[in-house]
Amino acid sequence: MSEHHEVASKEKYGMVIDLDKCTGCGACTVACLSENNHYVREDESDKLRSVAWMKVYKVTNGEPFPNTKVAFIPRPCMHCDHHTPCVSVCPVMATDYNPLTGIVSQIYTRCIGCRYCVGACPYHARYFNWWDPVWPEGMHKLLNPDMSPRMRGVVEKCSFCNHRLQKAKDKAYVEGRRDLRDGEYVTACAEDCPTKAITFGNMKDPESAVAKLIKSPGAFRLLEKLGTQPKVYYLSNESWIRALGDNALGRKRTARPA
Amino acid sequence: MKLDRRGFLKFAVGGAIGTLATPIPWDMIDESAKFTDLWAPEPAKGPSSFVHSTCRLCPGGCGITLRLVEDKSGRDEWRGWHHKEFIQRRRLPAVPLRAVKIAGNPDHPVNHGGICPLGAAGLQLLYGTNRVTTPLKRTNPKGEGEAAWEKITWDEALNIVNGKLREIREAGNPHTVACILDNKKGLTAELIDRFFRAYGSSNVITMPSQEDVETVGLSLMQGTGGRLAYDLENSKYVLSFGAALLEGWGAPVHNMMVFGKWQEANEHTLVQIEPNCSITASKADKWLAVKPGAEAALALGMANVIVTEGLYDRSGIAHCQGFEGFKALLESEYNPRKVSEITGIPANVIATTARAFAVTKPAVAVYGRGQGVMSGNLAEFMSIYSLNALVGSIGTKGGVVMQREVPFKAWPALVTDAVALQGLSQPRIDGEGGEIKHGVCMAHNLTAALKSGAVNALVVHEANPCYALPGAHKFEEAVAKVPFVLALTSCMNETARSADIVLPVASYLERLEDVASAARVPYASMSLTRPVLANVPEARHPGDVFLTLARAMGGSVGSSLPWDNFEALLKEKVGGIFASRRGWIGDQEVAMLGSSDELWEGFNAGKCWYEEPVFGGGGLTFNPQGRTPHFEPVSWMEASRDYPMLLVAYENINIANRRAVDTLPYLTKNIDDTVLQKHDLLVRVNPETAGRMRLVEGDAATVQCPTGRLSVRVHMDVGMMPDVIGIPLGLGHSNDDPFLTGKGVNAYEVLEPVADPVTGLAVWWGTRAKLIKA
Repeated sequence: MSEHHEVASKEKYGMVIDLDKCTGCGACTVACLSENNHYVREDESDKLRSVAWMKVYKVTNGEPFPNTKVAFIPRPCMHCDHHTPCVSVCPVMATDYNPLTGIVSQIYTRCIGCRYCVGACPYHARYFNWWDPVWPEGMHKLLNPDMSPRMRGVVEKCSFCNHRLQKAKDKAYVEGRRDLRDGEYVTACAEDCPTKAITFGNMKDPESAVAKLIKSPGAFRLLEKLGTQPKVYYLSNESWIRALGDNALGRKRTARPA
Repeated sequence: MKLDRRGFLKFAVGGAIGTLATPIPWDMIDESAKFTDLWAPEPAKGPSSFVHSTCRLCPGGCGITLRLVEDKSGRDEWRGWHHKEFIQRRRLPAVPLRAVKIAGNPDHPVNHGGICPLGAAGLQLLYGTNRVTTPLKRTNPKGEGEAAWEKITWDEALNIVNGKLREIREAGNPHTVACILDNKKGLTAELIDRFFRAYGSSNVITMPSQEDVETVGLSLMQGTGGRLAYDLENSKYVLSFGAALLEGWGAPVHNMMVFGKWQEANEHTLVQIEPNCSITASKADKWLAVKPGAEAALALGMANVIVTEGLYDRSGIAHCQGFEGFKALLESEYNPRKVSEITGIPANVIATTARAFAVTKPAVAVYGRGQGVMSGNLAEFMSIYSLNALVGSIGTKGGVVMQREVPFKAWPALVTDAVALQGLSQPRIDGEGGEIKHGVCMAHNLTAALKSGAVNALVVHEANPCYALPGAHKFEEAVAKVPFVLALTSCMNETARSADIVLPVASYLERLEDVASAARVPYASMSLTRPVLANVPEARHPGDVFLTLARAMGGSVGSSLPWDNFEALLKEKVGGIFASRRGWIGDQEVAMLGSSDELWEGFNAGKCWYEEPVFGGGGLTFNPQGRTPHFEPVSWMEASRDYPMLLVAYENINIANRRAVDTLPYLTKNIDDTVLQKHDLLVRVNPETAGRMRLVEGDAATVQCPTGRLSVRVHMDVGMMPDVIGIPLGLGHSNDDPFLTGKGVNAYEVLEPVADPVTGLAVWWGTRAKLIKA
């Protein structure tokens, strides 16, 4: 499963995050936690144990006071289009690239917990469940019926809210349509973002908002040099933020993660 | 068979090797992992539906959409006597429901579908582990160790409260009853205020807020109070004096939505004036790192440039009074060179910023500090507000706007008897009163008032002063001395733990209530929180609790509050909006509606009422009662030998700090490890300053202040001003919440309120400090 064969599909979903609009509030993270049935540990202040599919990284330009600037990079799964690293290494096909939608899935019941994919992912987008998921008494009521909580011993990651795609398609079929309209299928993070920094949609539809935004001059992707062709694009007019996108090693070294 | 030592060892080693060669140990490890796995719960399936409601976790008032799913797991608790009553009283659907997600409501004018992390996590408050589920009565004396509770019924609880209030009133001391609210906005708060006035006490006091200093400043300079708002969406040049525009100030989601639009249009300039590199400062077009507390001086320096270069709005100034005196003061005291010394901002930067601010139209200067809880002195507000008058931005599009009141039907006249009148004639315990201090709340004076024995009963409604008043631990000690303390709360907090009786109130997702006008938004609006669920069946609407108490008390209190329940009151009040014919409900004009019932139905369908902003009224007095805007340092700004550094509090949008709402579990995932690491809070210190103290990243240290000491760790932050320590507000709870208790330290304990010399209001945002390596 190292190379995906292009199939005649009208869909390829992607995301564009405008980093100049993002204020790092973390509403996307909470929207994701709530939509995707994440449990919360009592020791979330220990970040080595914390799981969040949509993690907001804080970066700084490294300039001394008073020229310092910070920015935020929300990081979902990149749903890499080419040589998807996690798919390449999975020994049990628990993670799969869907050529019809471009979405990289994770099948929890197939996962054997070997964590090859966690090591292979260049974006740290995958998390292993070291502990049993626990909800305090009464809290299980807020579980989303469309999403299965993950058991101990499996790897999990952002699914681009794949269950929302299924729902949107069901709705379109009932209404006699085969194609989804732009905005009919959006992820929870894109829906809730207060600055509307996150745009989600079908990149193969030239009229969609994402297809237009990825052509912007300030568009870039994380670690493009690896050639994984992520389907998550970032926009920024700040050159120091764009430089961080490719780790900036060997170039200007002042900018660094906070 | 004889087994010697050698033979035994051979057998043991051989056996061990043999066992390892079999799959048995590996299978056992595998099986034990499977046997001990708790597996994940399967969420109960069911058809889902969506309802609109309103968030009231902060003053932002966002419209929210709740996704509800049929609740098959919880059917049992829906049986029993209360089931039928709830369906009737709260219009609950016959099928039990559970809420699985809160999203923004795209049709709400305030937030247009966006939501903040706290709002999105609201269901964890509803289903939270530290909800108060029944009325509680304390069984051990206050101030003696951990509280012990006995569960009692509502009837018993209300009898105790009624008896206590009646006893105090009959002794002729109604003014010795005090009540603390988070704020006085909304009908529930107004109802409680009315209850106590009819009872004979004017001591209904709110938690500290910037709005108090604004109220005083506006009534002095403009002759009217009112809620200060800003038309940020249409402003081309925004000069923010420390307001955390993108981190929770005013209506957070509204501001962030406006910011998103600014970034798209690319024709707006945001200048952030604050000492440290905050998110707003980073996202702004320009950040002016002013010395802490010198914001007023900077505003006056800019005013000097605008006035001396003749860039001010001449026609507007013609309607203002005291301009000549103000001009003379600016020219003599606040030339850019002198201001540069006070503020640390180069004189040319002051001048260029002032010119850009004066020539770009419309421009607005925003007064603020953080999210709006901390405040500076009156002179600071007047200095910053004057800038708006100079550039003609008062009451204009893209400028400062006075938010109109929602045209609710007026309250009927208060019924008072001799006892009530006698009680109301007594001075208020926090020192409110007189011409200047009229209508403000000075909660920082309560500690002394409670200690002096002036209060026989204290009622705390949805506020947490034992945690969130500056000098919180002293207040907590004072509360222990009050003979009777009643707390109304939906979740157990520090204040409820110091109470004698705790009454469980319904959360915002379980009760019908008005949420009027989002803070700082230029127009009036109103939508309802709706009782779509009843997770805690025993919890009651606080409005209903006070109406029940009023009926039980009878007399002037009963006659002043004659409504059967809160819903009846709300419905009557909404009639005023219909009668005013103002505004829109959803996409329908109120003037086109046939009856008040139609409007009521609209509200109950989750629609929002709003109207266009009303501009106008630009006149202002620069020197009311001889008080010209000036720079007035706060006592702790002066460096001292014992305390060479300044501790400045800051707020984080993921650490809930307003409206007595605690940081919800989901948000703990968002709190950075540069703020909180395991159980330790990290203070922000400039690396240069830390290096001088031989501190490196993550080192344990003690922050020593005149008022106390805190154990912290150090985070080296290049964006911090040297010699300033930044400490987050909202951590260090001790409220038995497993996700929060014992994490970090409570900065409120060391912050030192200083009384403003004119208003007596608390000036608080920092204190002197020393950082010691632990």
